[in-house]
Amino acid sequence: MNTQRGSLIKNKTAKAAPARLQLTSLVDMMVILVVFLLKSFSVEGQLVTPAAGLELPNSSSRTLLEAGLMIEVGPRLVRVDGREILATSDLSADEEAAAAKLSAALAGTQIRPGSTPVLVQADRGLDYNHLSRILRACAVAGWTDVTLVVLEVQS
Amino acid sequence: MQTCTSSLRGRRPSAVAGVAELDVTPVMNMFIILIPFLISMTAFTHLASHEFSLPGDEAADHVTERSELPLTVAVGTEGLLVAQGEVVVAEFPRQASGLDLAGLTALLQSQNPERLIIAVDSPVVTADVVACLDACAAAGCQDVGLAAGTGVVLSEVSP
Repeated sequence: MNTQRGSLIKNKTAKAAPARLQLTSLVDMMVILVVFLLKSFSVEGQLVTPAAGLELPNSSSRTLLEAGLMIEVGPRLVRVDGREILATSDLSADEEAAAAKLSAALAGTQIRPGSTPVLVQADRGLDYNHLSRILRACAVAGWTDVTLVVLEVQS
Repeated sequence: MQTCTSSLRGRRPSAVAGVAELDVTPVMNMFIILIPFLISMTAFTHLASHEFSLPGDEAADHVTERSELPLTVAVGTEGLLVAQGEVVVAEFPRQASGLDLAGLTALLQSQNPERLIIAVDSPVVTADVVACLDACAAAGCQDVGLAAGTGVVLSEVSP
């Protein structure tokens, strides 16, 4: 009887032993992650976020972007400063009305022309005629400094 | 002495030497601070720019005569055409892979023009225009303008 009780006590202490976490694989994963993040680390940060729903054209240009008034010209919509202004198809359907809407949108922004450039994010498949009309509307509204945002191709 | 040797012989070598356990908790703490910081500063897409200087509203009525035009690269659906005034300098038909930008760059390098205009026909896509701007920049052209359909120089592109 005494011997039996002793063996039970021994089993209890064996069950209560602290569980040891195997952290080796987690540390390995973290090291890989840190190396990847360090590789794509950017000191300047990202001033411009690529607009959703449009693919920017690839370019070998290395000119850095400055902050400015954003015009997004997607396959379906034209946005000025994040606000939907008109449908892209309207640029060819009713040119005058589209130019008027764009001018009103550019005039309605808080930023004054000349203080910052206009950043144009145009879809790579966009008909250049549409882009040309937007550039003309910018010129008429007094926004003469225009920056075309492109996707830098790493060579 | 005999008893001591026999007791050591019974144990596993690791138990005798004592396995060194690494405490990775500080390393994990450092990673937990470092990873969110690096994620916030990571640029997953590298954006660049082509800068333009548009002429004002008054320039819209100014039409340049074709004979007065500097070296002009016409971008169309069929390909590229390079002309000096009214004289065609070279033609680069569109290939299966796209525009013959290597040919354009080689020509521009040999011509070394001071001023260049890119005239775009409809329905050319923006990607083709950007590719032409890149080819001009690769050839060392400093003063590149974009023309509107009527022959008006719409904008000047900075190098």
